Formats: sequence, structure tokens, C-alpha cells
Amino acid sequence: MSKAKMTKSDLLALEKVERDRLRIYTRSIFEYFDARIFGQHFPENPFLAMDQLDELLERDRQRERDGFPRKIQVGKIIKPGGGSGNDSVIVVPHTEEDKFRYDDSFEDKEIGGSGDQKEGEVIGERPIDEEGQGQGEHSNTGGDSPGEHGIEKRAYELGKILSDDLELPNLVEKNKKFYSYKSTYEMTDINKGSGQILDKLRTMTNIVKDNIALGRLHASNIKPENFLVNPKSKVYKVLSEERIYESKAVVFFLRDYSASMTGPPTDVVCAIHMMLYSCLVYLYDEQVISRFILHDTEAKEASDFNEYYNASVAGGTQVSSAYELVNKIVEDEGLEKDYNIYIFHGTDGDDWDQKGEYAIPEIQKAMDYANRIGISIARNVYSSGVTEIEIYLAESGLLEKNDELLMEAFDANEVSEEMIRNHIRKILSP
Amino acid sequence: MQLISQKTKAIMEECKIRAKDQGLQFDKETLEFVISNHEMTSLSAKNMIPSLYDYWVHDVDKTKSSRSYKLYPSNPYETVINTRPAISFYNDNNPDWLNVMIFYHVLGHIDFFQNNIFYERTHQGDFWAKALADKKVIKQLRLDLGERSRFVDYVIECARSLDNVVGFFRSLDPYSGSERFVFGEKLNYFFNDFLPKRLKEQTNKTKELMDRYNNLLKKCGPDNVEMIFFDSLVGDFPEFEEKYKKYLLHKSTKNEDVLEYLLNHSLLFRDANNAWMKDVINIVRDTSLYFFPQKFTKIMNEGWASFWHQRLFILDDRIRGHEVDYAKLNSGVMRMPRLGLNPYGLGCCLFEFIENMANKGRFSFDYQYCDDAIERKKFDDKSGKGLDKIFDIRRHKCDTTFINYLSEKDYQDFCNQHKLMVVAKRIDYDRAREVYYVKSRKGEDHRQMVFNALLNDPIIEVNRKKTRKGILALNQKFEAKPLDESNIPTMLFYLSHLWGGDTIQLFSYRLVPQSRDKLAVIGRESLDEHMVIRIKHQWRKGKYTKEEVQNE
Repeated sequence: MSKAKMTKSDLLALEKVERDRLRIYTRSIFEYFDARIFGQHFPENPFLAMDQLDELLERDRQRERDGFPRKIQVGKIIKPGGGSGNDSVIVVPHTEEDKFRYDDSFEDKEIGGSGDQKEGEVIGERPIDEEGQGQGEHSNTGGDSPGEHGIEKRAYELGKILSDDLELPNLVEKNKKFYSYKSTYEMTDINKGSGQILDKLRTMTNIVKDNIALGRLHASNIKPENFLVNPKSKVYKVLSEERIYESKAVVFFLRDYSASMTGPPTDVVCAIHMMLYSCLVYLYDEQVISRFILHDTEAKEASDFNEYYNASVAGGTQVSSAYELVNKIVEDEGLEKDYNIYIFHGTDGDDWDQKGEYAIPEIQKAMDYANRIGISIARNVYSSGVTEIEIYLAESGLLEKNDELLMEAFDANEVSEEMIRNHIRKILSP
Repeated sequence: MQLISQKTKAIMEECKIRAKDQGLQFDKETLEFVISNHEMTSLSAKNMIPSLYDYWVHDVDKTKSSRSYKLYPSNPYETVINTRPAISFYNDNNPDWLNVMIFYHVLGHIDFFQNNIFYERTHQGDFWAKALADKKVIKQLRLDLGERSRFVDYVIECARSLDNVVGFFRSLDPYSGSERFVFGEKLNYFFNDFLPKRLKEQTNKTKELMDRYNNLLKKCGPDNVEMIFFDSLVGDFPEFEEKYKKYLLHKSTKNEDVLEYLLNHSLLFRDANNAWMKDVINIVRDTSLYFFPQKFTKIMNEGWASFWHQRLFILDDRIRGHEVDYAKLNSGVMRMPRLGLNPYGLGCCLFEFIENMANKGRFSFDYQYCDDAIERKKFDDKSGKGLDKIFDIRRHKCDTTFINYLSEKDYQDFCNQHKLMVVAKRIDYDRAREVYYVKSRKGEDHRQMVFNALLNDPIIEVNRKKTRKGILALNQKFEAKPLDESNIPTMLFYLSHLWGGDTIQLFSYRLVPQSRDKLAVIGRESLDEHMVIRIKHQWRKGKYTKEEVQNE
């Protein structure tokens, strides 16, 4: 049988059926497409949700423009990898809605529990853990004065993007160690009577002492088989928790803010240092001390990154002044002995000291102690190709002789974010 | 997201019949969905209501939970939402015997939702559909506002900042506001408030009016007397009717919570362009009211569901062959932890304890006033009214009243039976460690500790005396806990956006220990050791100040 051709009346009938079907929905409180709305919260591709973070952060920036405080913090969750250092870390956005609430810190925290212990008995203890196991929010969570922490927060966002495979190069052990919250387990404590490994020397000493006191040991005639052994004389080594001490690093950020830096060079240098700073905040957090130095013909120290980042342009250029100040700080405060020292310098390559007569000796001096000096040169549009600093550094031959000194130059106008990332990888390369 | 299979649904229906036999009451219709873990993470950000309005905080939570799920993959077995029909979500791939147990647990929740009086307000409608309608309203507003659509979010944000101080308990009262009829109200107002103010010292006139009323009462009878009496007054007091109307209006709005007050009186809404904000605020407020009862029936709700899944599943023959699996799983759920509070365990044990007491008639005078320990232990009148008792409690109590239900002695017995205690921590600074020690094994202390954990939301009300021309004044009610002052500037900032005037004042309490070196521990006894200070926080034209005030 061949297929019957659909007549016009058939079509009309079909349409009517469809209309009736729709009408059922329009009569009830639900609409025809409600089912789809219910379902739309579940994007079919789970990775769609991944891009959302950037969107949310963009929205947060918009808030600031509208006069509302920023609300999204980027925190990290750490899952300890069993001491082997394979901790997995993921970055999560976090926000807390402000509401009227009671002050929890007011009360001495009481917790419920169950067990047989008597009143006053200790049932357990744990180390004070600053990071916290669950949601270790980043430290700058103060919400009172939104403006202050703006850059810190942004630094953190950026750090997470960059820091996958970066670390400070040439980090070495220094004299002074600093308390860290990490700990390890070692066989260092001793315990009488029971434990994991018998401490033979201590045990023997105790037994001999006991037997001398009992008068069973005579120097002329020593018979170990006759010794009386008190079970408590046995001394064992036991596993115990030891705190780890770590070396810290001091990082100097140097920025040229002379008049020639106006415009693109400043933007580029700031961007580079911002990202560097972000990585350090993200990776090392408490372990790194950052110092900020601005220079034109004279150098001065900025109190924090915010000031460093936002300082406006002035005066001429004397690169040596910045290194001089760094050398002075290191010497006065005796930093070399206790810290790993890193110097990152951002400039447009312009220097009034054209031959580097003053700058080269200072840089050489800094190289004696620094683990890395990274110089970023963002060339100005009007500078003709190679700049002064590039020339005198090349002439001095310092770049070839020292692995610690790295320099890269590029045109400020042609910089992309990708280039900056590569640049940072380069100046941090081991 | 899809409905459970026919086979599993059959198991559910079977469970319903058995649960009903035991006395649980719930609607015939329920909906069960299987959802994947990924869906679960995005749903939990929306309080498990898929049709809840869109708001970026939900997106943040969603991103957060879906990312942290990678590190810590764990999901609840079930989640029930309080709608009609009741809807519950399940993980897929549960074995059948486990489903039986989970279904009993879910039925316990549904029974609780549909019978506890604190949920009464949520019984009337299908919240899922209401939320959908709200979602559409907000979506439409965003479309209408176009470029300024993000201001919808700001209004939501400001309104949500106040959604934990809504007048939930008043909303339970069906006669709240002006609808409440008070006998002889007009007359009372006339003689007690209106006349003294109007006449000052002319007492003769009052006497004369009273006589007139009494005579009329004799002549016309109680039905018509009021009307005739007040008609006769129009000549003497022409302004009375108007004043009475004002009084009624004032009375009806006297108990408004902060959001309601803003809706009715905010200077913002004098501008018709801002009217759309009212819709948003209303939606936020209604949503909050819907979720409110779940906040303070956590222990009861979980306890009740656990109580019933234990009881029903052990009676069920489908447990055969899975007794060990069940015991293992159940003990994990019900375990009273060495440290911490398990609402499932605590609630369930308390229900069992009360049932046992009622079975033995121990709520009677004889038992309660018996001091002899041996007598108390033996006491049993075999009345067997246990189930009636706990069904009654399930209907009428919330967490605080539930915990407080037992007398002091009985609660001590309860704590002894389950070895409950109060643990506190102190910090050993030398060794950089937190040390946990047993602080008390007294029942009352344990009860107080649970109370403190339950007391979360402060009470903030509008201070009507001080609210005037562009100034909005709020009061904190004293509950022996100080307000967290760290986010008050932000809160006042939000309020200033909703209020429209330039000044917001908040009067809060601060508790300061009398002797500074003493660690502040607040409880019933130690409240005396604290000075209560009233603080006035003020937000005026973008500037925040706070100061101590006396005698407010």
C-alpha cells in the first residue's frame, strides 16, 4: 500500500490537536515551557560551569564601579596528600552574605560530646592550624574598608591563573629558620617502658646505673648475665611530631617612575610586577617578604604594593640609586645571612647614567648576595631600538657570566598578556 | 533529573502503606527524582528548589560546590523539599534494600513537614510553582530594566541582608494585624485613650458619658448599643471617627518587621519609578519565610525521620539478608560523636527516650515528684501511651521547646543514658595546641549548650519612637548575646539603600566583662559578670559612626 497523501483537512486537524495540547498548559498555572525552565539549571556539559568563575569576577568588578563593596573572595581548598607534598589544591570562589548575626567569638566555644571521661579530663588535642582543613579563605577577608584590599584580592585572582608551574629559583637554606605550621613525624622522643625502637645505649646505661646502686657490679668482675633488669630501665624511641622550620625569602620590587615612563611602559611594568607579586602571594603567602622601591633620580621605599602600584610619575632617571638603596637595606638589616634575596626591576631602559658607570658596580654588588635579579625593560615608542641599560649591561658582560642576572626587553606597545606570562616564566626560570 | 523507575516507585508505594499503618500522616501524592551528583551540587546552591529566583550568590555557591566536589566527592542519600506534592531527590544506583530504608526516612520528613504547626503557613501552596512565578517576575524585571538589570541584584542583595530578621512567628498568627477582632475595642479606645486626652480634667463629663452608655445598653440591648452610642457622639466629638481609624491603622502596622516596614514606609517608594523594587523585596521576604521553619526544627526533623526509618525498617521483611549492612550504615548516621553534636542522633534518641518515658507513665505527678532512685528506676504503670506522646510533640514543638520538654532530672537521666557531656577547648600556647577537655556532665549544662547553638538570628525591630523624617531607627532586642559589629557598617549601607533617607540608626547591645582579664563565658549564671552597654550605630550620608548611649 502506498503512503496516502496528506490532505488539507488532515493538516487542519493536526493543527487543532496541537492547539488543544497547548491549551491544557495555558489553562493551568504552569506554562508550556516550564519543564524546560526546570531543566535549564543543568547544563548538559559539566565543563560549562568552569568558565563561570571569570564571569562572576567580572560582575564583582562591576559592583565596585556601582559603589558596592566587592564580595567574591577567591579561596583555596586543600586536600592533604598524606605528607608527601602531593597536596591537591583547588581554587574556589567564596562569598558570604552580610546579615545581622550574633558575635560567636564572644562565647567560650562549648561543643557537645559523648564518652565515659570524668569532668575536667582531657579528651584530645590538635595543633593550632591556621590554614584550616576545609575552606581556607585567603587572609584578606576584612570587609570594612573595601578599597584597601582591592589589589591584594586581585593579586590573588591572578596568582591562581599563573602559578601552576612557577617557583622561586635557586631557593637555598639560610641561617635563620622561621616557624611554620607544617610538621613532620620523626623518631626523636623517648619513652620508658614501651615504644617502637629500643634505644640500646640509654637502656644499657640505665641498667648499669641500677646495678651499681644495688651493689651488683664490681669493676674487677663484670658479669652482664647477672644484672638485674628493671622493666622501666628500657628506653624506647617513639614517633613524635616535629615542627618544620623554613627559610624565608625577601623580594625587592624596583620600579622606575621617571617622566619617560609615562603611559605604556608603566602599565607593562606594573602588570609584570603585579603578576609576579600575585604568584608570590599565592605560592608562598607567609614565606615571602616583599619590599617595594620606586626610583627616578633618587630611590624611595613604598610601604606596600598598593602605594608602589599607584605611585605617579616624576623626575629623571638614575638606575643606580635604586640598587644603591637595595644594597643599603640589605646591609643595614643584615638580610643576606638569613634570607634568600630576589630583585625584580622594571624600567623603560632609559638611564641618564649612559655608560652605566654608577649602575654596574651597584648591580655587581647586589649580585653577590641575590639569588636572582630579573630586569624587565619595556621600551618606549620613541626609543630607537636598543636602550641604554641594555647596551651597558651587554658591554659589562655580566649577563653571560652570571646565571642569576636575567634581562628581557620588549616594546611596551606590543605587549600581550601571553607575552607577560612568558616573560615571568623566563625571569623565574631556574 | 528524571523520575525514579516504576520498580523503585513500587517500593516507595509499599513503604507508604506500611508507614501509614504505623500512624504517619502525609498526602497520597509524592514525587521522587533521581539526580546526578553534578545536578546535586547545582541544586544545593538553590536550597534544592530548582525554580528559585536567579541570583549570583547561588552561582558562586554552585561553582564552589562543584569544584570542591572534585576533592571531596560526597553527596547526601536523599533530600526532601517541603512542597505539595512533596518532592525528594535521590542518588542513583542505590540497592533496593537501601532504597527501602531511605524511603522510610523520607516519609518521616514528609510527615513532619505536613503536620508540624510551624510549617502551617507552607501548607497552603505549592512552593515550587510559586518560586517559578517569582523567578519569572524577576526575569521580567531584568528584561525591563535592560542595561540597569544588575540593580535587580543589588535590591535582592539589600533585601536578603535582612531576610533573617523577618517576623516569622507573627506570620503564623492567622489573626495578626488589623483582622484581629478585640471585644469592645472601640469603646475601650474611646474611654481609655481618647477621652482623657481630649477632656484633660473634666471628670464629670466622663461620668455623664458612661451613664449615657449604660442607659442605652439597657434600652437597646447589647447588639445595637455601640452604633447608637457613637452616632450620638458625632455632635460632641466630630473628630473621633477619624482618630479611631488612625489608631487602627497604627495598631495594624505596629508589629511590622523591618522589611515590611520598609515596604510600607520607605521614602524610596515615593518615586513611582522605584515601585518594581517592592516586588523584589516581597519575593525575598516570602522565600525567607518559607525556609524559616526549617531553621529551628533541624534536630526534630532529622530526629523524627531517623526515628521512623529505624522503627519501620526493622519491622519490614525486606531487611532480610541485609541486617549487617543496615546496622553498619545506620550506626554511622546515628552515632553520637565523641566531639560535636549530631542532630540525627540527638533528636532520635530524645524521641525514643520520651516515648519510653510515656510508655511507662513517667510524665505523671507520682514519678516527677519521686526522689527515690530505686523507685524511679522501677516505675512503670504500663499505660503504653508512648506513640501518642511523640506524635503530639511532633505536632507542637520546635527545637528549643523540644529540648526543653524534659524536666531537669529527666534530662540528666537522658544525658547519663547516652553519656552526653559538654566539651570545651583551651589553648596551650606553649605547645601551640588546642586542648579539648570535658567541661561538664550536667544535663542542664548540656541543654544550655544546645540552646546556645540554636540561638542564631538576632531580633531586630523598627524603633518607632525615633523613626522620623528621613531617619530610620532600629532596635536590637536583648537576648544575652552581643551583636557582631564587624559587618554593621555594611548592613547600614544596605539599609540606607532601601530606606531612601539619609540617616540610619541602630541601637545594639554589647556585653563587656566586669573584670577584663576574665575570659568571657556567658551562660545563665555568668550574665551578672557582664556590663551591658547600649551602642548607637549611625550611618549618615555615607559616614559611619558609633557611640555609647545611656538609658535608651
